[in-house]
Amino acid sequence: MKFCADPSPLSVSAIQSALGLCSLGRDMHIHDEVLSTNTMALALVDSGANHGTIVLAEQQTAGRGRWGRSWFSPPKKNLYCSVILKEVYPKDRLSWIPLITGLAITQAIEELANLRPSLKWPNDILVGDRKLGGVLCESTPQGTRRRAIVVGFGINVNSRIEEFPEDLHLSSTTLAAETGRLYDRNHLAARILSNLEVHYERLRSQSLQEVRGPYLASCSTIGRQICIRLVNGEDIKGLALDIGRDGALRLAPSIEFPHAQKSSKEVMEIRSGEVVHVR
Amino acid sequence: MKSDQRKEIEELVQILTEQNLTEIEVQRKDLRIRVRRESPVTPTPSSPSASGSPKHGILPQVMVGAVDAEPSRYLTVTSPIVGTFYRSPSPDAGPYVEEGDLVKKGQVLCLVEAMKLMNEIESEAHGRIVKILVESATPVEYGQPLFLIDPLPGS
Repeated sequence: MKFCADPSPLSVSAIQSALGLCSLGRDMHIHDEVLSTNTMALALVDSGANHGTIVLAEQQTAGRGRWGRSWFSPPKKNLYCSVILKEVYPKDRLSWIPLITGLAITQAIEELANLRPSLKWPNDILVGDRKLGGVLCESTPQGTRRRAIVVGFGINVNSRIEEFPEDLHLSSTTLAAETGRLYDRNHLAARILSNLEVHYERLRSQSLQEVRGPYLASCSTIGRQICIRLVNGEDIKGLALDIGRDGALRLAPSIEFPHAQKSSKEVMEIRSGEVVHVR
Repeated sequence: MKSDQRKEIEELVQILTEQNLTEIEVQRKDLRIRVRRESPVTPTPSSPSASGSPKHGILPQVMVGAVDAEPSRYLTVTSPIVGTFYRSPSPDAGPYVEEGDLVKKGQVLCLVEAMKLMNEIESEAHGRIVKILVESATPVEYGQPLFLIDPLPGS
């Protein structure tokens, strides 16, 4: 498979013209290189950035995942983006924001590419079992003026698998590798932001089912046998049953596990950990 | 009484005597521990003094179980959500705070993660971290106490 040169650089005007009336992205910062777009966005929150401010970068030198994991972020080919959400939301739905971000991304990819990615709970974007994108959300404290949620995502768009570190070759994929063509990252960014705004507004003002239904339709974890590795290294195996009211994964464990949070004797509610889909 | 409970009570009594306090109360999901000391009317050798030698003729009293809530001089920082508690921003990084540290109002003390949303939890007051009540990378419940802070006057 041959790829031509970088199709088009990230551009504020290209993204904003595709966004139309979307309230996200009216303030937008594009950098050639950052440590991570989330780090940059958190700094902007401290200096009073508006709701909907977007940070994009052509390259991240310290792209981050959950609790110190790194995100491979080569220059000019992929999408690294963070969104600052500041407006009031129902507090008990905050933990859905990572899930609706994953949903916004899978739907944008479906709309632009002939590809149907799925979500691995809570928000890994998969094609088959390979990771196409990931989301990391960070909230700043509640008691201060800088209360905000920074929603960060990275999507492997135009890079080739061979460019990835070898240990990621089997577990990662890119849009280009899956479909044999290159994509305009400006269009993809705009589509994701538009979708995110729609789901965010539903989350704020409508019944939970308005976001839960579409999420379940995109989530490939539910109904499967899975293994969850907790941060303390403990593995929990069981059947993924459903998504709880706060976005927790409801699991019927194969055997009893004493440390997980349970809603009843039979069902555990998982709120953090790395899910592996068992074949 | 389990040995880890006993150890925790001993630690609380030590704080009580070292800081010359009269009372500490810690609440968990299903357990509330209140450690209190007062001038005894008559010295009773069988008083449950868990450790240390009481200062100023004051004996520590230990109460475990359901007790009436009374105001304590310590501020308790609780978890605003159900999730996983982290003392550091990443496994390789040092902890945000240690016991004994002075913290400012608004300073980040820890993270609580739920659904890959990393929530920074901040101190509500200027003060000293008296006790960190939860181990890193363990689950916490809504409202579970995470830190005891001894607020500085005027904060």
